[in-house]
Amino acid sequence: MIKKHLSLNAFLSICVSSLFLVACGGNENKTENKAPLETGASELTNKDEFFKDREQALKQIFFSIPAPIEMADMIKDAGFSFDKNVLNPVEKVNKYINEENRAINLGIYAADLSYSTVFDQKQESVNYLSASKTLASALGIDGALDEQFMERVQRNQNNRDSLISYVTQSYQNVNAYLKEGKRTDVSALIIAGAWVETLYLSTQYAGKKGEKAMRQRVAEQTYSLNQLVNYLNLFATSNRVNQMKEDLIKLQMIYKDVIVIGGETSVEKDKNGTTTIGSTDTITMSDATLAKIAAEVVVIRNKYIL
Amino acid sequence: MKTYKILLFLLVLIPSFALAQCRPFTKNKALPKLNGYVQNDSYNSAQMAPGEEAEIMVTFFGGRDYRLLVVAHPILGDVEFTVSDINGKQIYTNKGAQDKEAFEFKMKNTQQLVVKVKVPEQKDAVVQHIGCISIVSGFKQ
Repeated sequence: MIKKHLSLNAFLSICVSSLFLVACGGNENKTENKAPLETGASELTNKDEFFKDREQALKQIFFSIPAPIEMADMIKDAGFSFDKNVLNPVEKVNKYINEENRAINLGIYAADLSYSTVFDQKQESVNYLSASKTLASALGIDGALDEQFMERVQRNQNNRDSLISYVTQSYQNVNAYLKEGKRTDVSALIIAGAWVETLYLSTQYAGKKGEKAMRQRVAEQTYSLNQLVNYLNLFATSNRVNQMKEDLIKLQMIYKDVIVIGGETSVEKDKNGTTTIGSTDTITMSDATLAKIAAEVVVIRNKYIL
Repeated sequence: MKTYKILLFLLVLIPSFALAQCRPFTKNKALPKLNGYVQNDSYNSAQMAPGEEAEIMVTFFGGRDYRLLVVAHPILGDVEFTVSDINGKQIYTNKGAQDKEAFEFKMKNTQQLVVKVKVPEQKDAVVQHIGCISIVSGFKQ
């Protein structure tokens, strides 16, 4: 019995040592200078493992639709003011008890956090960051929004630029932890949740009489929606992702009425060296289509915010 | 039984730790180069091997200024990145550019652009290395 226990302990020690060796970058840049782990390079020692399902893995990692902070910034640019009533209340955070709901609502809170921060609503920002932390912890990614990070936010909450930087960092950290932990489907749900909330917030303004700027931004979301649906297709075996995808496909059916006419891309460089990219593309949408998009996004959002 | 559970937990953790190398790289080497632009994407960083290529489609909104970064670990050599429209018309290449990591531009209209990244081969290398590549974009407020 003692012997068995000893051998088990020895095996455990080897495992722990291996873990720390890998975690601490044991084989980092052996042939180069001994660079620290954060330099992000290592020898390619296990080619079979590295190249396994490689194309799919890279497609799941390299995906981009505009983060919620940019749409919030465009709402502000269009001259609108903050409206707390359009947000998903932070008090609901404890209602989200399964991984799918936690991920989607972490995305929704990320969008609400971005909106609050862009409009310089300090207390709301801290509240939404705190709710995001609760959901991140429940998803097992405490490190993405750890105590030190939260303390830095508290200390700098009166500096809008710092707060915006922390908000974008938090969104990046959450997705980084999930992608590097091979939980890209959960990251995909967060991104989808954030996009749904961003579209919802935009439609709240785009529908106002005479409003043109936000209406155009809502129409332009046809690009992000198509990209998002294509991205979710990469997770075909995940039922929870498929559920979200089906909801977005309903929205995509309405977006088919948005008229996109492709044109020529032009590139100009002025005497100061500034590059301007233009195109003759046009994107237009009728009042009826906007109303249908606004109604459908409410249905989808209500389904997930509970 | 409890020990076996701990063992299993540790063994599951090992590959995750092995992957977790680009987060600090992105934070320390890429994000500071946004230089006053607000980051507007999620997380697009991974270790890539010599000879590999990756591409990403990004929507840029009309009337806004952007800074696009492709930051690669120096061990990968001269990583090439290009920006094209969705019809394949090349708009930018970092070949011969003064700053090989950053491309700043203004968008007249909202458009989707394709960013392609190509890691050079390391044919003569005795030991091959993989290194992080981070694709980051930011807008100007």
